[in-house]
Amino acid sequence: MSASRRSKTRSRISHQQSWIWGRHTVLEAIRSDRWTPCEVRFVEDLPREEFAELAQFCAERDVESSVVSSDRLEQLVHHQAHQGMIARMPEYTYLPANDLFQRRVSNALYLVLDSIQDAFNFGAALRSAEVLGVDAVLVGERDQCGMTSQAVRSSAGAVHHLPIHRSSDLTDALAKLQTRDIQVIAASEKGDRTIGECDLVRSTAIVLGNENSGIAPERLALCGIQARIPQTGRVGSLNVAVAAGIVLYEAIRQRTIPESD
Amino acid sequence: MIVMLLELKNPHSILAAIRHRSHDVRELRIRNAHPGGVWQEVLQAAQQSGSPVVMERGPSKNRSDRKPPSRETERTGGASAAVRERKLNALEELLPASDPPPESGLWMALDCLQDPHNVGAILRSASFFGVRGVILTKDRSAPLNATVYDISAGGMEGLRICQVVNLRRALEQAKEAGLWILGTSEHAERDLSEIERKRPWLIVVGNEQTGMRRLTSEQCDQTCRLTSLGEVDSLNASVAAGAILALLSAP
Repeated sequence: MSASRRSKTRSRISHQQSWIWGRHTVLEAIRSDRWTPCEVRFVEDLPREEFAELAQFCAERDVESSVVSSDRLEQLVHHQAHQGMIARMPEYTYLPANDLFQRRVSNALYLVLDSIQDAFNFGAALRSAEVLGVDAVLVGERDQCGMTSQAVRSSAGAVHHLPIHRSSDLTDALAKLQTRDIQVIAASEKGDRTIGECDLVRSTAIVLGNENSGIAPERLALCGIQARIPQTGRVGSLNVAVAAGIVLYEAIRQRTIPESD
Repeated sequence: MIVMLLELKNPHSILAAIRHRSHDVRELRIRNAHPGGVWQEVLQAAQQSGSPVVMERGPSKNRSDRKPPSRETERTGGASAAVRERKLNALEELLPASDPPPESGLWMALDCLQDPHNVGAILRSASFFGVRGVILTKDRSAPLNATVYDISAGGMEGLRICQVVNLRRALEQAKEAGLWILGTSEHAERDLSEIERKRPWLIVVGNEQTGMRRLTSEQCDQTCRLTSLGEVDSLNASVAAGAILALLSAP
């Protein structure tokens, strides 16, 4: 591959990161007060309600907007599935460390993602965290998927509602959580107990690791408990976003269902 | 007959294909005789089973090949295998004999799921939780392409899987075989936690946007939801399926 072609590919990728597309994804963004587009482009023949909402939003918030052809949208996002609207997003606003560590939530539930690399997984995990009522998500910087178009899409709008903190030192962030009496549980295939055997009603941070290498050793060492999802089949493993959803669902189940027996 | 060859890139899906049906693995292309990590297992399994291994020369100096395995994502790694599509099962093969009726076990049906990532992730979970059989719809559904195989990380190999044109009819047959049909819907009255665990359930997962079709939901003995506590209405289809499987298979 020639050098010129490679640089072209790279610029295309960075370009895609700032544009989001698709009806649901764009409408969620313009309704959001947390992370709003800096520019919206759409086609003329949208359903009347959507056209009106977009036009009104852009006027109210002084957001640059333009009506363009469907082909032009496709050129900009390199994707056919734009459904007639795209938005250019500013850099994502993560939750500042002070806001994360200073607040005291009783029975807090945090999800910690240690170097999730796949945008589908990252987005789906954020969606699960929002749906299942997690108080905040913590991610690191190294080997961590950023807030890409695909991650935003896979999150189904969760990125607009969920507090997400990005730390340059995730190990330190975990240690700080522990000093606030929050138990840190590693979700790991090698766990010595099942996730159902853990008390997830008390303040808890659940850590999930990289798709291949799992949780980094220095962070695993910080986790007071290592718990596994009980495997009832003979072979296989779980996708990391699915595993996150299962563990969070167990936490919610323990918190909302009174123990019978 | 035209043989469809899939190019698989996930070492776990390739390893499972070699273990289950090495004769269908036409070629393993690898750039390093000592690749390390899971690829090393793949290479050994291929050599033991007699699958052709092609050492690719040249780009081995490429920086991406020298990355340690931990940096590889699920779908890339610089090596690949050309594998034939697996044979699917007939519906009858994955339903239990109705006499005596089954007392437990889990089955699944996917009603027009369109995202190969979801189908792959669900099959991976199904394998992990020991699902006895998975029914897939043929029309308006994700094709069983290389992405599905790779994302399933081996789930496409060990499971009993059938594809049907008429899911309503297949669910009727499942009921005749003694299975109970559990539908999933955001609008269901019952929460998942209210579902009786000790039943031979066949769990139906509906399309990502439109959910189960009407004719499908009419076949369900019960329908459950996973209640959202947030602003987003629902979980991703594969995550929801995973949560249901985890809860219903819990000892």
